Amino acid sequence: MAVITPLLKGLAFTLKRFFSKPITYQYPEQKREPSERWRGLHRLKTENGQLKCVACGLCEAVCPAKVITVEAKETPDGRRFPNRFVVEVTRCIFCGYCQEACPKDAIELTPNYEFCGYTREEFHMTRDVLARN
Amino acid sequence: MTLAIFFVFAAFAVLGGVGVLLARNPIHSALSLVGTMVSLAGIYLLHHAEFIFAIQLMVYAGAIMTLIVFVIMLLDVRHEETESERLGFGKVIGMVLAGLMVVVLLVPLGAGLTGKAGGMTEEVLARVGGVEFLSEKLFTTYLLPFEIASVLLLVGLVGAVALAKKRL
Amino acid sequence: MLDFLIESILKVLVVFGVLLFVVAYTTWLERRVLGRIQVRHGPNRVGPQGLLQPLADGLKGFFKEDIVPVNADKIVYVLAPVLSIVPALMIVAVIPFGDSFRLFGREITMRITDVNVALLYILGLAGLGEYGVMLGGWASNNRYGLLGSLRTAAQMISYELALGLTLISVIMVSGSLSLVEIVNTQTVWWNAFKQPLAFFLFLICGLAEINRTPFDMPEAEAELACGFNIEYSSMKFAMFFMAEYAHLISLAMIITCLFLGGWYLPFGIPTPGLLKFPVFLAKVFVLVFFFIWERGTFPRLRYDQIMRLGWKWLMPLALANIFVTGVVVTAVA
Repeated sequence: MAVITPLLKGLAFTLKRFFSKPITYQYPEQKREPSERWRGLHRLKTENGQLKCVACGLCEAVCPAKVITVEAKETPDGRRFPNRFVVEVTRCIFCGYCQEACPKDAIELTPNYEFCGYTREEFHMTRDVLARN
Repeated sequence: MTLAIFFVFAAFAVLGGVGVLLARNPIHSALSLVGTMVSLAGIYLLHHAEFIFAIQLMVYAGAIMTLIVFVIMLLDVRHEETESERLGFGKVIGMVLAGLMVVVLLVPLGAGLTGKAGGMTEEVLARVGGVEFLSEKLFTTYLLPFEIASVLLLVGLVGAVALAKKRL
Repeated sequence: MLDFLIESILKVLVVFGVLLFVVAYTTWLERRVLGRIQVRHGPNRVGPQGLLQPLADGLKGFFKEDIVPVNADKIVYVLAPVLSIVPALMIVAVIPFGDSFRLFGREITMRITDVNVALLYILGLAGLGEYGVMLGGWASNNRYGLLGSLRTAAQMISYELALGLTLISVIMVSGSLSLVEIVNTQTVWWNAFKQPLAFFLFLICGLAEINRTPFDMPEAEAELACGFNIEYSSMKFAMFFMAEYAHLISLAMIITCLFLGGWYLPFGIPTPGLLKFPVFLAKVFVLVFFFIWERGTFPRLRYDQIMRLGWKWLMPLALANIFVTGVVVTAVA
């Protein structure tokens, strides 16, 4: 008896599990809500249709993975803006330092974790892609 | 129809036997022997000896050959042990015995002996049913030899355990 | 003669067709049930509820590269999967699925053949079935494979004895070796009620004989990395896989015939002719479900534990059961 009871207990346990609802998220149809502080794909914020970024280069400097490249340019009225702003997302470690370092609150990490592509180049996210994101 | 099936089984049995002798790899020999055993089982079935058929499959093809294959695998004899080509005393005796065997097999053929039919024809066998008939005979008429055989097997079993236990 | 031949061939085709279909869907059932036991879904993507999954698996099996290791024993390597699946399928030939029915004015029995030594035939084929696994592991010339083979051989020989001894008590109660007659003696009381210990022992030994969890020593994933079939790929692997599930289903059918009254309802409740086959199927399904359920529950036994269980517990219990059954049968007679 002492041998069989645990076996039956085990069977009862697994049967209970069998009738319980699976906890799996059926991913593409059923998405999991990421945490509010989830650090996903970058976004360049805009204000009145213009990028907030002034291309100061602080994010480029602070980035531990060195994935950000910024090229500054000036408008005729003397306002700086990033002519080129590339984030190589494949190498990004999503630490969020760029967001912390930005004096203009121009870059942030969105909760978007669904980005994919077939080539490496598709992951070199450019200024316009990041602004639209 | 039955004869054709018999010849198929017989051919496989002989092929298996030849395979046992000619295969260089012990496992292949053992497998050929399994083939022979299974073919023999088929021949038994053709002769309405269903019990012997099943026992042949179970004991010879199943258990005994499994053990042989098991031992060969365990010892891992991959290559044939090279044998001396010298004509030894044992080989001479073996050849003489083989020759005698051939004579014994050929003499009845030459003398025109074909054996004589016993009481157990196909119809009788189909009626009495192999297993029932066999067990009745075994447990009444031939009870003593049957029991002696089982005691003999038991002695063998105990002996094997006693021998193996010494080295454990 | 001719219509007998035609009837037999048709029956063989139908039975094996259905068997292979059921084998394919048992893999699906197993994965779904194991999934639910582990609180997940299991395969549910290919087709509705994943019902086309076996088809996808089969196609994958066909198109995978077929690898034969350089140092393998080629002949035996190719032969092993065949030796594994043929006996597994042949067992079904003697299993009765139900009573007879009439079709086009012919009495058609729901079995391929009724040998009067069906039980011994099954034991014999079970003995042949282990060659596939043994030789497969040996021929692939792989250490894990060889270890798996050796374990299989030792385990199957050990449990075949207990299996056979358990059967003897059933034969003593039924007085026949034919599965049909054994089923027909169980119209009122199933053998599972008359022989509860034998039923229990047969269940355990049967699981060990078909190398099912918790006795899946030959292919212990954790230690042997799949054991005997480690080098096999493509359709050869698929054949081993199919043999495993064919064994599972035939074990369920044999237990149904031997202990669960075949196509009869328990306690002498009359079974209408139309219900007989569904009743048989339902019992087989319950058993197959149980085999999957226990796989999801019990951890694998260690090798020495398996041997100890087989020789020191199951064998003596089976012998004692034979003795008690003999006394009772003689006393009643």
